[in-house]
Amino acid sequence: MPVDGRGSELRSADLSEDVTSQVLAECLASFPHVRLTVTGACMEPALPSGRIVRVRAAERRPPRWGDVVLVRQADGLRLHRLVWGPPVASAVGWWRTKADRGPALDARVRREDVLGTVVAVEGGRLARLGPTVTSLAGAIFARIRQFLRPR
Amino acid sequence: MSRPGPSLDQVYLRSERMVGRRIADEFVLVPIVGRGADVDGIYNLNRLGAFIWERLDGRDGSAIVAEIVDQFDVDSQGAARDYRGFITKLQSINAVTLA
Repeated sequence: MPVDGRGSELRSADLSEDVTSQVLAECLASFPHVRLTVTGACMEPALPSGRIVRVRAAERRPPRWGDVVLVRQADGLRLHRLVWGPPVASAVGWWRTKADRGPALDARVRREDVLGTVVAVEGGRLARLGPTVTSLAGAIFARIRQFLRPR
Repeated sequence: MSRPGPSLDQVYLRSERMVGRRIADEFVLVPIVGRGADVDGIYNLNRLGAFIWERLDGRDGSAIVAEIVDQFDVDSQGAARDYRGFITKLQSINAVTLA
């Protein structure tokens, strides 16, 4: 039976957020790691825009507090830091992520929303403890300021 | 001097550096760098592209063109043009090798 489908057979992927998420999950499950290019400045200076990172599936490399993780948020996939997660938080409870340069924590996520963990930065190295403490402290102070603000 | 286009007598094989995956309703080609998948370099294939890609397993161009004519609403000339065009694109991204 003739079927439609001719035309431009090959093009750089322009996938929906949902399909991108599925492609990433499939690639993470099938390969030792996936390479991703960082976009945006929210993780600078740890991860400048344009830097290539290697992400390993969360099943292969369980995320830990301080890791930069590939996380599924309501507004899309993000490479953000896990500022509340194992071992300081329960593996089955709520976890929190945050952009190093962001003023506030991201929405709460479950373990299954964290697709992978950044295990290497091509041409650089990834600081873990310092940025995590700074990032978390910044979010806490921002929250305290919010509470202390005259109403 | 320009390189001659792909011949229908030749056999093109899928490169080991490129993996095809059907995910949701999409068929994508994922480049392999080192031992990992380079998800920034992913390509989409449409139905014809996926059809040809899945047949780059040792069949020559003529056999694949005949199958295209069988499955798609196209004559053999158009199918041969589509096949050649697609193989040229695959060559440009190092997704196929000549057997």
